[in-house]
Amino acid sequence: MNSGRLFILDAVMLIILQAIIGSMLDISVYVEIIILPIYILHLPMRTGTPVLLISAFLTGIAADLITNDIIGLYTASLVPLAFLRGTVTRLTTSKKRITSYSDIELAEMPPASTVPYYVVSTFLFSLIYFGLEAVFVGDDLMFFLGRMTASFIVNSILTTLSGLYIFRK
Amino acid sequence: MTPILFAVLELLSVCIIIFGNEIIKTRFFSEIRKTEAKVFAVFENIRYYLSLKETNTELVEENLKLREEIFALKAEIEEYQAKGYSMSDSLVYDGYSIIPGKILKNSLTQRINHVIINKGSMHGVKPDMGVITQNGVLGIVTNVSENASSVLSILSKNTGISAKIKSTGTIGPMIWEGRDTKHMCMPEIPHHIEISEGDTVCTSGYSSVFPPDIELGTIESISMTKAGFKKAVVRLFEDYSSIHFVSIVNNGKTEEINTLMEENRKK
Repeated sequence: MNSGRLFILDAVMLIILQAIIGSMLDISVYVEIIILPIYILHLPMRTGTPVLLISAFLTGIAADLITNDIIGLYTASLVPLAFLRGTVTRLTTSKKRITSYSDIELAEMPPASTVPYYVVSTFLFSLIYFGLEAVFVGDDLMFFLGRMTASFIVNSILTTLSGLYIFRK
Repeated sequence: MTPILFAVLELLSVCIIIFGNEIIKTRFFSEIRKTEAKVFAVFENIRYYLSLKETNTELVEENLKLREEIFALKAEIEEYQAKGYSMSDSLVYDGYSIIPGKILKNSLTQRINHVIINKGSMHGVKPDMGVITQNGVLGIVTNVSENASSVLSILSKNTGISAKIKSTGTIGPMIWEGRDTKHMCMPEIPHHIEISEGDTVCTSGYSSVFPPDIELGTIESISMTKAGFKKAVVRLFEDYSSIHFVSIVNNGKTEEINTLMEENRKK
């Protein structure tokens, strides 16, 4: 994200976009398009984890109230993603380039090296989101796996493309 | 600090999921109750196994008592039949059926005590059915799930049952004062009624919940209340701390009685 943007506006935009996608786009019962993780993944790397956690919580609550059938599900999935973002970054980016987190800016890294970051983050989010949904709603295992896999594929493509073409400087 | 913040926010989110969605909340608490019943069943099985010897002795004594009652009833039936009554006559048919049950979780220390039993709606249990024990009465079914039920114990404040003093036929409420689990009292006996220590107290049969003449205890002491009534302290036959088996009573005439009462209220 460009440093001049107000991050709150970005969150609002994504929530509105998520609401529109949720209400107008119905591809399949196995595919749920979720773009909210993009907000957490593109907050500056220097952002402290407590701020990330609170941002994820507030974004999730706002999105849940406006868009979701199961209130609280976005929130419960975004908060762990915010908590694990640092770990995912460390595991998926080249260790030779990193001296500290403040050195990392996704927009400055070679595109190919950021793809694992987007894919792993989306996988984690999908696992938590659809896992919680399956537990609380009572879905059987096969339906949960099908929904998680199909949605993960679609969402990781969307997240990666947004990272490569929309949020780079 | 960060892990704690994460844990707090995540817990809050999960609470929002559970309490913000009615269907999920119902399902969540239903699963909790099922798990609770299973856990209590395990503990109760252990407790039951450890008291098998005592239970066996009680069962032998009850068996002998029941055999005596059967012989006495047979003689009574023969007497009725000799007078021309048949077994299907309303004079000899009570209309009560019994569902046997077992206690999963007992409660004696609260002001209002609830007992969980191992029979529920799939066994025919419904709210407002009476529950009796070997030596008395346990209480009334309040909540029913598929495989378990909650019983409001007679050992609860502001809960009374309709009782009768056998010797005089005097009927009145029997209530629990909350002091100990071996005594209840009948505080509204008219002062002119002659009662004595040792008189047996039983269910009156005046409610549609409990069958009549189930012996509850004996009068241990008598005193006068400020309102001018006699108050009889009743020592209960049942030891509520060691009961395992109960019987849920289904009065086949409950609907009929309740319909009549409703019609009377409307008049």
